[in-house]
Amino acid sequence: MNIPTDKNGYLLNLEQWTPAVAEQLAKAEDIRLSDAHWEVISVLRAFYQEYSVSPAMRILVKQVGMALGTEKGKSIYLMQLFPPSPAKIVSKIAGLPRPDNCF
Amino acid sequence: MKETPTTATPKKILFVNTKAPYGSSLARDALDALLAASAYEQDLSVLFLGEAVFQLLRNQNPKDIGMKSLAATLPVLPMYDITQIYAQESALSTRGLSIDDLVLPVKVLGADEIAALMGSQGAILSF
Amino acid sequence: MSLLHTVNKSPFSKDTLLNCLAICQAKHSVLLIEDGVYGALKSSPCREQIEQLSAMGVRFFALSADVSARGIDENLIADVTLASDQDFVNLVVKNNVTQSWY
Repeated sequence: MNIPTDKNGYLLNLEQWTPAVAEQLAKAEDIRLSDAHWEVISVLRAFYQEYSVSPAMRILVKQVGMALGTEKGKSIYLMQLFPPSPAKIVSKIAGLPRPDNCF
Repeated sequence: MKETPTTATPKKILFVNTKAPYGSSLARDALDALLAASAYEQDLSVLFLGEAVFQLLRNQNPKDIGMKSLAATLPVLPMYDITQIYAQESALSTRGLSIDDLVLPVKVLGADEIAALMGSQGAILSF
Repeated sequence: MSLLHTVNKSPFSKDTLLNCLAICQAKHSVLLIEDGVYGALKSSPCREQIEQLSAMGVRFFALSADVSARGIDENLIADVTLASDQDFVNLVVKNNVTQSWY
């Protein structure tokens, strides 16, 4: 499976995303996707579906907290799942653009 | 992800939009800049003047012109703690628009209120 | 609460100057630059508003280099003062904040 990405590893064509593509993108980040990862990816994809923008870290934390509970709505939790920069890494694996409002 | 710099008093910064949504990239640039600026915990506000009130219209579907919908993204502003959102009264009325036509709640301002808003800022960024 | 407005579009083709004048108030200054200087012409579509606002205490300037470049020095509304580049800098510094209309 060879899906074109930009030089930072983000999908060039967002329509090409599938769960299998996500596995592959995660592998490139040395992440093996578990249920805990998938539920965060779902939250992010739902956010993007609604607002057409990849959220900055602060907003991702808030969204995960609202959707999955306050224990999961924490930077440290997301940091463990998607090191070293959760907002960027989750966006990448979820097949979404790089959050450009996130430095 | 860098630490947000801590500053003594937040600066009042007004983002002024003056252009319609898709004729140039300015409207999108303004929104990107605004969302980015929100990370710095300053006192941000945003004003839609003249043609820019068209940015706020519901039901935008720019897919076929290869653009992302501004109307889809603008409602994230309150989530980014940007709640001082203003639109020019005369710009809306000239174009036959009312606040019910808009994708997010805005405060409608007359000319005097706009002058006062601008005058109270530490900086104004025009797009 | 002093405010400097800069305008760089001609009022003969754009409503940029008109939009600016619509929110101008006493103690504001308006500096016309680039093609904006055409707004200072006696034949300007905004002449009436400029004269009215000027009487109310709004100050009007046109950037001298842009005026000369366009050969319109002799045809300007009396209420508009020519400004050098140094005057431009002084206006920016003297006012609390600048709004650029473009």
